[in-house]
Amino acid sequence: MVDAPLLALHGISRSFGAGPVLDGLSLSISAGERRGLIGPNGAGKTTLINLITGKLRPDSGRVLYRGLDITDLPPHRRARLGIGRSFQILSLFGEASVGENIRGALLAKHGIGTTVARRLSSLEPIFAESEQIAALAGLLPFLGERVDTLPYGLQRRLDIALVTAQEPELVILDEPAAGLSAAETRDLIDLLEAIIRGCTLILVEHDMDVVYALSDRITVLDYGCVLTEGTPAEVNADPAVRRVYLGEETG
Amino acid sequence: MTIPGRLGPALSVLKAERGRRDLGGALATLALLAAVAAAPWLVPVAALNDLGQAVLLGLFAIGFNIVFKYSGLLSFGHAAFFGVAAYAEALLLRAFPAVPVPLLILGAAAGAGLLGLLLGHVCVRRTGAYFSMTTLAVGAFLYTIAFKWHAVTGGTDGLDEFMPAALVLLPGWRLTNPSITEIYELSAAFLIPFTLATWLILEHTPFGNAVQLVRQNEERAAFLGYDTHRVKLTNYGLAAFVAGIAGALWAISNGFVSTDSIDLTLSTTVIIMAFIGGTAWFWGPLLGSAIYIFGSDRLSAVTQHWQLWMGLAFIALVLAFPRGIAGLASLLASRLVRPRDG
Repeated sequence: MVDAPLLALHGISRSFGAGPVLDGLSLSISAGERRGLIGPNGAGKTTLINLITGKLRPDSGRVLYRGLDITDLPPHRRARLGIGRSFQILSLFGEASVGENIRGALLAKHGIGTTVARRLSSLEPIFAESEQIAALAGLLPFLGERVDTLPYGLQRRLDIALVTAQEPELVILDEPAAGLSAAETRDLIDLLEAIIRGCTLILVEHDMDVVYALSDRITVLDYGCVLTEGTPAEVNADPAVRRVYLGEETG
Repeated sequence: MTIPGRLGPALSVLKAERGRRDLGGALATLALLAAVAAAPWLVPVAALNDLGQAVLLGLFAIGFNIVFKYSGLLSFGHAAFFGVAAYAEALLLRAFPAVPVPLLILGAAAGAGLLGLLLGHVCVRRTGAYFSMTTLAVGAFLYTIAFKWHAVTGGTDGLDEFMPAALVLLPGWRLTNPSITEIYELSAAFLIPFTLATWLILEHTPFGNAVQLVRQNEERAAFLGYDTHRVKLTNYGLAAFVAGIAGALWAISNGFVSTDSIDLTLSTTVIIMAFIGGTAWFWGPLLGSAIYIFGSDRLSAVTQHWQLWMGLAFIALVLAFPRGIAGLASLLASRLVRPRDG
């Protein structure tokens, strides 16, 4: 029996102003796969993520998740179906504490995000679960700190912690190592290894160490189309990839 | 994911800190509501009329601030909901004088709340200045209806003589020619439970938490699974309902409803009240309305240019204490408490 892909994109096109950013792109990702998505700036990686998570709608083409057409679903419905994402440009609840950020993600996951029938302070299991997630992300000492007073590296970790709290089936990470030092990036890889266990992953990242460490297949995008797809070794050896992306023979 | 039964040390610290802040807020809340309830015994009857107006406009200002504080949206047309409920209450009293008045008040307020949900569909999709402009347009539109639709609203004459000779509180419990004190008590009997329930919802339930998360970062909230439009819309409906209770009671307490209860001046007065009291605290607007009403009363006894002095005082207050009187009070309280803590 052939497994249906967890996520399938069929003939996705999307334009902004003058030219197409994605041009009839098709992509399919099986459950449990860890897919790296690379390509030069402007290749359409972030646009692709926004189309999968619902921030954008395609001009044409369909997005299928577990065989379900989600092309026109708003982001919160896709999140509830099990799609979680992190953000290239940090997107947190800055005035709230680290604990309150994680709690917000947990309340939504447990389906009690907007109830008036519970008192917040009576939700001890949620507090305990936030503590566990904070511990996993190395944020336990900062649980009561206001997020916008935290250093950038810790805010990056909180971004990942929120995705962890969602317990998504499909994890989409948009440049999780952006702006991190080499040491911080190594710590981040360990954290990501721990939290994506058992999930399907789509990873957009410029730092190739992160891509090689976390992906078992890589798709290379160029000008809104799939240039090539394969294992890290195959992609690394592909002359076309080396030309457009890895920077060889371009002078 | 397994959940341990024990809370770690970091969390206990967090909860203790939060607990202290909550306790201060809860004590101030109880003190304020106790003062509202006890006013008929504390305040001379001559001042009770003014206080009744202050309490109702304060309830209305709390309604305005539900949208401003919790959703971060500045409404320039909140009098629409106050006014619609005031007119509705007058018309309901005229049509159903035998129906218990609490039901009529709830009906008029529910009408305002539903109108809020309807208009909110358009308004809360916008943010910042665009939200404010949309609410201004909606406010102006409803004012124009009230002004022009003479057959229903009485136009510039307004509506009067809708108060029945005896106000039915419950079947078998009537108020004949209710006194100022009785009207005040009716207002307080609505204000206290409804504001308390709203405060609990917004400060202590996941829904209130969601409203505040959406204000801080709507996009992230959506990607975590929150239906952000619905959260904002529900909160807007709640704010319209609270303003509606105030408007319905306003009609009863004045025995008269005119375009003054729905015009844009009232929409801006309520903003000024909220800012005087302090928008960062749920109860700040109630405080602000009392200061506004008694301040303008005193000033107008001294000079006919009282609005000029009121305006100057407001500017000075906003510049000196941007968090209003409540912000100033909490600052003073924390200064008093801290030395004993350390």
